[in-house]
Amino acid sequence: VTGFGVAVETRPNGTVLALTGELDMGSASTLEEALERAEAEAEPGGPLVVDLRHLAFIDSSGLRVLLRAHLRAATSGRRLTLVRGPIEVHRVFTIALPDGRLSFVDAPEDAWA
Amino acid sequence: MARRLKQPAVSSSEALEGDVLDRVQVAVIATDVGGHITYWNPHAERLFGWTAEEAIGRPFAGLVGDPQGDQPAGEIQASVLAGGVWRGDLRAANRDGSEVLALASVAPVTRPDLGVVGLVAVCVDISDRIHHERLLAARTAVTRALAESLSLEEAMPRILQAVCENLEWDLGAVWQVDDDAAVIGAVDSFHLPDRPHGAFEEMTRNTRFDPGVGLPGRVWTSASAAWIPDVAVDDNFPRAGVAAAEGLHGAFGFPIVLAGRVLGVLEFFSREIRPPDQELIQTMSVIGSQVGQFMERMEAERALRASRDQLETILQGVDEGITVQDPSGRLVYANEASARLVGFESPEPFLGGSARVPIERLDVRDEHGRPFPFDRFPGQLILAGAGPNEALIRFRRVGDGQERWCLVRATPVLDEGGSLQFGVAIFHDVTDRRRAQEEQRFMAEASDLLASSLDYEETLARVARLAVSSLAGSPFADWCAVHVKDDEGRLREIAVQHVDATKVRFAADLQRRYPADPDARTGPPEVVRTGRSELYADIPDDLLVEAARDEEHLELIRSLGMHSAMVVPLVVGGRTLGAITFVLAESPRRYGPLELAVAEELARRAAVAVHNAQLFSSWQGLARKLQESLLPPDLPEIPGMEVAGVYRSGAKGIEVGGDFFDAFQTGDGNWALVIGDVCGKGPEAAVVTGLARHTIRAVALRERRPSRVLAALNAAMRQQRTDQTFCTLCHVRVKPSAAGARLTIAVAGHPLPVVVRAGGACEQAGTPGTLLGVFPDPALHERSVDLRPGDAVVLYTDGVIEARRGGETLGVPRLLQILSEAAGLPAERMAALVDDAVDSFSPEGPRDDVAVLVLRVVP
Repeated sequence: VTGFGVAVETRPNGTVLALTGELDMGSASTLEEALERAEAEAEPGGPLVVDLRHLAFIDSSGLRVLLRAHLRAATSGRRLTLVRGPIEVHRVFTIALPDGRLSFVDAPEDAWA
Repeated sequence: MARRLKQPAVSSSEALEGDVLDRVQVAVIATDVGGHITYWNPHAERLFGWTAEEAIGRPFAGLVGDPQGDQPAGEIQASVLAGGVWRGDLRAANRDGSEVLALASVAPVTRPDLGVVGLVAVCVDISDRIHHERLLAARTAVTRALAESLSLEEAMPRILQAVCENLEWDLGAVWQVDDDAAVIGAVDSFHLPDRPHGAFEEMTRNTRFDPGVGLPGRVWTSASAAWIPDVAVDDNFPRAGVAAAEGLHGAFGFPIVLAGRVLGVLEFFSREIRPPDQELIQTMSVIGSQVGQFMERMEAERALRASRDQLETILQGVDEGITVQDPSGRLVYANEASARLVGFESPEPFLGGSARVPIERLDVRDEHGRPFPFDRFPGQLILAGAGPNEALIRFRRVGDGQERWCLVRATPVLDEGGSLQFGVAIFHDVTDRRRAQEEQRFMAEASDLLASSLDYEETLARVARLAVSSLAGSPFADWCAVHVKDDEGRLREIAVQHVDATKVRFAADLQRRYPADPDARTGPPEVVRTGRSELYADIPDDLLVEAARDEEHLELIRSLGMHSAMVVPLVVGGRTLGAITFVLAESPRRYGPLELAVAEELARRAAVAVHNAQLFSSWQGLARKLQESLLPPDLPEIPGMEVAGVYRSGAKGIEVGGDFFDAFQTGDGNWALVIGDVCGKGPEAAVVTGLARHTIRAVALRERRPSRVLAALNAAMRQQRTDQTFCTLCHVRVKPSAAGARLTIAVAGHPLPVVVRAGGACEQAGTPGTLLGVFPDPALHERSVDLRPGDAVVLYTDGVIEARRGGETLGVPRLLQILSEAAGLPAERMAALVDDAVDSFSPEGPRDDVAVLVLRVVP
C-alpha cells in the first residue's frame, strides 16, 4: 500500500496541488484539509489545479472531497481544474460523472490555456 | 525569622535589611488584611509611578491591577489573603500610562497570633532595566555612610557630601526638628570644595524656622519633598537675599521620615535653575527614610525594634530567596526563603562561609540539563566584577530530591568609590511556571497522539515514546512501560520505551524472562487491582531485593539504576484497563506529588482514548448491523426468473461503505432491481442507504421510468443532506415478456451492468449518468435491452472492479471474462463466482464493500 501525499505549489497565477499515492477513506481528510488551506491562502478567485497524474487510486471518499471542492469553487467564483490521472483513476470520474461537470486537462499548464 | 551573622560581616547589620529592600531592584508592597497598601518601597514607586504617599492606604488591586493582565489583581489578592502564594507575570499600568511588566510573587504575611494580617508582593521589573548609576552611587554612599557611622553627627556630613558630589549640588544642609520648641534648626552643612558659599552657610546654621516657613519649614509641615526651581523668585524663601547674592538658584528639600513622622529635613542648593527631577526626589525619599531609620535607631531603640520587626515580617513573608555576599564571597545574609528553596531548614549553618558550600550540595544544571558550574552563578559573576546579571538554573532540592527551577538575579552594591561592597542575589522559584509549561506541552502532544489513532495499543506505545522524549531536554521519564489487561484479565506489557533506544531491548528481554508476577503486591498488577497509583520518590535497594525473583534478576534490575518511579492506573468509568509505569534512572530527579498528578492526568486521558477506541469499534459494529439490516432479507420469487445477490462488507476498512441492493415488484406486474453505493462513513452511510432504498421503493410504485425514479431520489437526497454525501446507483426495470424480459436501465454514477448471454457473449448495458445527491440536474438516461431465456443481467458495485492486487485492479475486462465463463450457470452460481473472483484476485480481502445482484431468465 502506498501512502498518500499532497504537494502544494503556489504559482504566480494559481495554486497546484499534486496528489500522489492512494486517495481513499483514510487519506480523504488529508486532501480535504489541504484543499481548504489552499483555498484560504489563495487569492480570492485564484485558480486551483489538482494534479491527479501521480495518483494510484481513488475511491468514492476521494471523489466526494473533490466534488465538495468543485462546489465550493463554483460558489466562490473560483476555477478548479483537475489534471487527468491514470486510466484506473480517471475511470472513477467517467463512471460517476460522465457528463463532464468537472473540468479536466492533460497537464497543469493547460489549466491556464 | 531572617538570620544574619553578627560580627564582623557587617558593621551595621540592622541597616542591611532596609538596604536590601531598597537596593535589590524589587518592588516590595505590603498590604493589610483588607488589601490596603501599608508599605510601598521606593522600587514600587519607580515601577508603578505612584509615590509611597499616594500608594499607602489605596487598594492593592486598584493600584497594581490591570484588567489586561493574565489574572486580575483582585483575584490574586483574594487568593493570597486566603493563604495561598501567587507567582506569575503581572502586567500593570504605570501612573504615567506606560506598561509595567513584572515578575511578581505575592505571599501572605502571617503572624503566629493573628494568622494572615496582610500580603506582601515582590515585583521584579523584567522590562529592560534602566540603570541610574549616579543615583545608585549616591544611594550607595549614603547607605555606606549610615552603615559605617555610629552617630548622626558622624553620618550627616558624609551623607551631605555623597549627595553633593554624586549629584552635583553645590551645598547641602541637614535640619533637625526640635519637638519641644516646635522649630526646625540646621545641625550640619556641606559644600563642594570648589564652591564655597560662606555667607549663606553661616546664615543657614544660625536660622530656626517655624512650621511651614522656608524650605525646611514647608518640607517639615508637608512631610514631603519640595522643589524650588529658583529660590530667587520663590515667595516663601526667607534666605533668598543671601542666596541670590551668592548665585544660588535651584533648591530641593526632603524630609527625614520615620513612620510618618518628620524627624528632620535635608536640603540642597545649586547655582543652576533646576527643573524638578522626579527620579531624584524619589531617590531622596529613599535616602530620607533611610536616614530616618538611622536617626530613629540612634534615638529610640524601641521604635527601631518595631521597625525592624516590620521589615522582618516582610522579609519573612517574601517568597524569594535573598542572599548577600561580601566581596570575599562570604555569605553575610540569607533569608529563610533562600534556605527553604534549596531544601535546607535554615540559612544559619552557611552564614559566614562561602556560598559554594550550600550550592555544591545541589546538583545544579542549566535549563538544558548541562551541569552549571558554581563560577557561573550570577552572584559569583558579580564578585568577579560583572554587572547585574541573571541565569535560569535547575537543581534537585535537598531532602525530597524534587527538581526546582530558579531564576537567579544578582546585583552589585558598590561603595562611593565604585568598588564592590555586596553582591545581592534574588532567587525566584519559577518551577511551577516551568512545570506548567512543560506539562502543557507534554499533555498537548499526548492528547494529539491519543486522538491520532484508533488503534489503542499503537497509541499507548506512542505515549510511552513521548514520555521518554523531548520536554526541553528533560524527559518525563527515562523508562515508560504500559500494561493492559486482556479479555481474560491477564496483564500484558504492550509497550516499553527508554530514553536510550538500545536499552528497550534489554528491558523487553528482562520482561520476557521475568514476566510480571500477577500476584505481586506492588507495581502494575497491584495498581490494576486497586486502581490506586503508586509513587516511589526513592527506590531503596531493599525494594529491589523484595521484587527480585533470584540473584540474577536482582543484578539485572540493579543495573537499570532506577531511583524513582510511579505506576498509575488506566481507569475509565470505574474500570481499570491497565497501568502505566514511569521510571527515572539516568535523570537526576525524583518524582513527587506534582509529577504524579501529571502522570495520572495522562493516564486518565489515555484511558479515555482507549475507551473511545473500544466504543468506536462497537459503533462500527452497530453501523454494520444497520447496514446489513438494510439488505433484503429475502429476494423475491419472480416467476420465470432467478434472482441472487451477494453482499460482503469490506474487511479492512474501519468505515463501512454503503453498498446495498434490492429487488421488488412495482405493482404493475413489473419488477425492479436496484444496486447502489453510498459514499460516506458508517452510520451516516447507513442512513442514506435507508433513504435511497425506501425512496426508490416508494417512487417506483407510481413512476415507471427508471430515470425519473433516480431523479426523484436525487431531489430527496439534496433536500435531506447538504454535505455532498452522494450515492451511485443502477436501477433496472424488468418487464417479463413471452420471450423473456425487457430491461430498462438507468445508471447514475455507477458502473454499467453487464448482460450475459446464454452463449457466453457479454456486454455492458446502459448509458452512464451523473451520481445522485450533489447536482440539481443530473444527466440520467435510459436504455432498453431484451433478455432471452438463459440470459442474465449482472449488477455490481465498484468494489468488484476496484478489487486490487498490487497496483492492478480487477477491472471491467476481467469481469467480462469471468462472466463469459459463467454464462449459462444459475443466477446464484454466477453471483458466487463473481464473489470468488474478487476474493481470489485480492488475497488480502476487499478493501471496499462488494455487492452483486444477478437476474437470469430461466432457460
